[in-house]
Amino acid sequence: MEVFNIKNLSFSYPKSSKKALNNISLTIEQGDFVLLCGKSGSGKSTFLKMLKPQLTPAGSISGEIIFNRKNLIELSKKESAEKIGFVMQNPDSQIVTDKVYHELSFAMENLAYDREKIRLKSGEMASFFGLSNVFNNDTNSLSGGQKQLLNLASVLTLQPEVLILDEPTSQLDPLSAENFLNILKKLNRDFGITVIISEHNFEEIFDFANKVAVLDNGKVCAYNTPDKISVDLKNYDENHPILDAFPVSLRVYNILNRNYCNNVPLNINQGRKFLKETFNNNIKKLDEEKKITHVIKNKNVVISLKNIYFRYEKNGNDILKDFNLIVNKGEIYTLLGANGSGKSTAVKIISGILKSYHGKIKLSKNENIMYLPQNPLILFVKECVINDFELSDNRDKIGEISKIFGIEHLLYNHPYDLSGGEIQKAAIAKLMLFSPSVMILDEPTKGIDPFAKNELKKILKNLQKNGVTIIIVTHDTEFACSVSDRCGLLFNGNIISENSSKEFFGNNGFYTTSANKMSRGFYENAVLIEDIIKLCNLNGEKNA
Amino acid sequence: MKAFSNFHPVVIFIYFIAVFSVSMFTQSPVYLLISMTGSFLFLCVLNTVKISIISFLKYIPFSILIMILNPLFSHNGATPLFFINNNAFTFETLIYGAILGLMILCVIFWFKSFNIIFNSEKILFLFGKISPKISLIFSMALHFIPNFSRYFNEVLAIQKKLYKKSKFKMYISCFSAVVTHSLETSVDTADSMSARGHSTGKVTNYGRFRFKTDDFILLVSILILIILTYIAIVTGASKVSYYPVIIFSNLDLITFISYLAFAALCFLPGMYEIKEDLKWKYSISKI
Amino acid sequence: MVIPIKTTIKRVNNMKKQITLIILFLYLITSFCACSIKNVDDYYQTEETISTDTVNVKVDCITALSSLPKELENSNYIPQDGIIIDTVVEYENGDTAFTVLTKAAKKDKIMIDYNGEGSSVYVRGISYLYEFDCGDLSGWMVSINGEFSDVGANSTYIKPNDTVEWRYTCDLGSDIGNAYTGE
Repeated sequence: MEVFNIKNLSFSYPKSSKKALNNISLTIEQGDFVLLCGKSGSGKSTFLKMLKPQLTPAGSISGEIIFNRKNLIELSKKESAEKIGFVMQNPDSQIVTDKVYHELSFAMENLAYDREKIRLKSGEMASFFGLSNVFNNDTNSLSGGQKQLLNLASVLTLQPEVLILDEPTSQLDPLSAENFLNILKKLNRDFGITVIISEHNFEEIFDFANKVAVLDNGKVCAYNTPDKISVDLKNYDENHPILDAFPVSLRVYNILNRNYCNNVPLNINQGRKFLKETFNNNIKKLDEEKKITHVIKNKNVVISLKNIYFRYEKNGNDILKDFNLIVNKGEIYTLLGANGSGKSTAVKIISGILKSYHGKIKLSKNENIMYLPQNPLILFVKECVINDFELSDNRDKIGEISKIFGIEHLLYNHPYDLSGGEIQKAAIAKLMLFSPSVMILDEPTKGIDPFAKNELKKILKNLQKNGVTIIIVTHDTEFACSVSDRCGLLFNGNIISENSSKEFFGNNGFYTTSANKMSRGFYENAVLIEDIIKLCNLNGEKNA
Repeated sequence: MKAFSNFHPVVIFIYFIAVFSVSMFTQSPVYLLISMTGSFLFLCVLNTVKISIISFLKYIPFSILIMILNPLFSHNGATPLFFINNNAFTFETLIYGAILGLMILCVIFWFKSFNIIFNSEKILFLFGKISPKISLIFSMALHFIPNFSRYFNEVLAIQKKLYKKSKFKMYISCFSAVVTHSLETSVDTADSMSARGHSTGKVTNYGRFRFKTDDFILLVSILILIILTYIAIVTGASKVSYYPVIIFSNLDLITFISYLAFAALCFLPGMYEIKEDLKWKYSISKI
Repeated sequence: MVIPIKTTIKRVNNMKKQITLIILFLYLITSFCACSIKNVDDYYQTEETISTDTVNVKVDCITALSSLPKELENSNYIPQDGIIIDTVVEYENGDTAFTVLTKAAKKDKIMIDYNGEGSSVYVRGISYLYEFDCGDLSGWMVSINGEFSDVGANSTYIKPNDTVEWRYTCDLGSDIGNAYTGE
């Protein structure tokens, strides 16, 4: 049965001649798991909001949306609140009340459920989502992952038929994101709830989704099952940017351009099978590897931390224990590690925001350290970007720097009107105006799409060329691997492994890139997708 | 611990109103001393004895200050001790000041226990009974305010390093930035509320409290005790007048019953906590 | 030697605090010295003067007799006839309705309670009978030779042989012949 039947849907915002959505027609069956892809600004959020009457933005709409054989507009407020659940991007801003149990009962209170039902449902949801032990806590005390689970749980108390999620994991760390997506899969698989989700990171759910829709400039340019979507998309545009955002296995398959109709690899395990069965795999290593793993010759130490100890509270646990770190001039150093391993704390100590209670910090002379916080928006306090830039000492450099960063057209915008990638660029540009010699970035890839990530990569490489030392803290192994010279893994308050990024990810068993996971056993130190493709081409096909 | 907080919020609220009203409106040292001891006992059971004594000692200078200041502003009373600038500093005003100090001490102490027992959930429940909307706004504020101040501190920590102009201007721009941020997120919050059916019509207010037999028993006993207490207060049998000379009314039966009833009322929660505590210890020793 | 700026700022701040504390302490000492503290006997001791002019001072609360507060009923403070003071005191240059009241009260050992200083003196109570004791419109008023004055009691200057009458009203003065006109 069709849940949504969308016919010729077009939409444009008031005072805008451009169509945000352009003639979209698609059907979503009951029990579908639909993955919606597209660059930021392609109309994903607008489209999802059209499916939930309460959130439909003002503007001119044409076409129709049929929900359960009924026009969506005719749905009563209560029905649409109950049947269509909606979870948004930011875990914090969706939470309304101060206590977890109150948040869980919020939706049911609004629809005047009786007390016994509220008691039962909120208890049930809390146990299903593993929120029982925080049931009486303040919502402010939850972690980001728990907050997002709470938002989902609160929506599910009404037992919706359809769940719509707009980039729900973009603000979460990988572990919480995985946990969240697993629950979504379970809801779809065990309870038959139709899920429509937009996401940046496809690795986790691409193979689980049974439909993938690609949006481009407000148009659906491809809508098919995951194994056939690449062909459709390639027919639309041979070099569509979304192709680069697909899971590693599928990208390898697409780039090698084999048109085997069946067995398209959609996850890492399938990718391994594909590598094993298709290629000869006699050559294990790339020759040029030795050239790539250059270590910066002139070891000019910029920052050195010795035996650093830090704790937040007097009687608390040490966050950093005997932490040692040396960063050389002009390198890009990345700190990785699980949640709570002390990554952010370490860089805050380097940048002087926090003070360690024991240990030595040595900075070479005249170093100007700039710190980019996790939320780059807090760097901006004025009405438009240029006003913030003008607060710095080097006003004359504003024009030059904004040209380098490609943000000239954004200078007169309000910081809040920029997209995640744009604000990230503007924030780095602002820090550059203070002419730093060391730049520290805390989770720079959080909440930005793969294309913005690529641009960020280029910007950081460019800064490096200009002699800026860069320290990055991130969860994003792919990003860390492709951008950094050296990586360190933080565990339990100190660095337990440190190496050049190739060696680092090549040696790690679990904490590594998808490409390495996929090629392990066949190739050595193939940590990037480019490595795999080179090796595949070198080895040649078995049948050929 | 805090067995008393398991009673129904309405009952607890009535209890505190009863104790507060007597402590605030009678100026009789007997009531105030009873109230003081009761509130101190209750606080001892809720916190530790040490913490309670420390907080008691902390407020003592405050009471003494009130005691000394009162005669400087009021010159009533038949027994002048000395004259300052030709104004009498009398014994009666000094005593009256001491009573005022004691009263404030009582109110502070009861309020401390009230704070521990009456958490936001209970307040919301009470407000929700009156109006679900007020209750929701209250709850949203409790969620919003800590968020706001946390974000403000974050912005401040970063801007302190970057902002070169005057400090005052920095605070202003940070504040306005945080306000803007709050407005931006509140758009999301509003969306999330309406997505979950806010303002679709009838609303229930869910509180996890049920009115049990115990609550009824407690409510009735509170009402009986407070009525007995108030008989003497309303008829003036227990009235103490301070000016021009201090006159205690005679200790008749009504007054005596009133004192007893009020003592029972004030010691009730403390005794209840101790009883539950003993019960728990006893049941553990049986295991 | 270079002193780090931060520590110097700290020191300056500490000094500022100390200076404010010292100033506060000095202020308290001086204001305490400015206070004249007398014991009860000293206060009621009448001073000898050479002046021969006199002023009649009368204080009555006849209007309040029917509605006295409980504490004052049948007490020594309010006589049965309601006349609290009826005496003659010596006149000094610059005497006001207020100063002669204090003189008479000292002489008869009657308690008075007032607020303020100089021209803003306001008499709240005489012999434990206070304003508002007999309703919201009650309080003390003063007349000189039968004329109620418009200015404060300490700005109402008097001449020798005047009769200063302090009278208690229960109705903003209308019961003692000084109806409140609202002007």
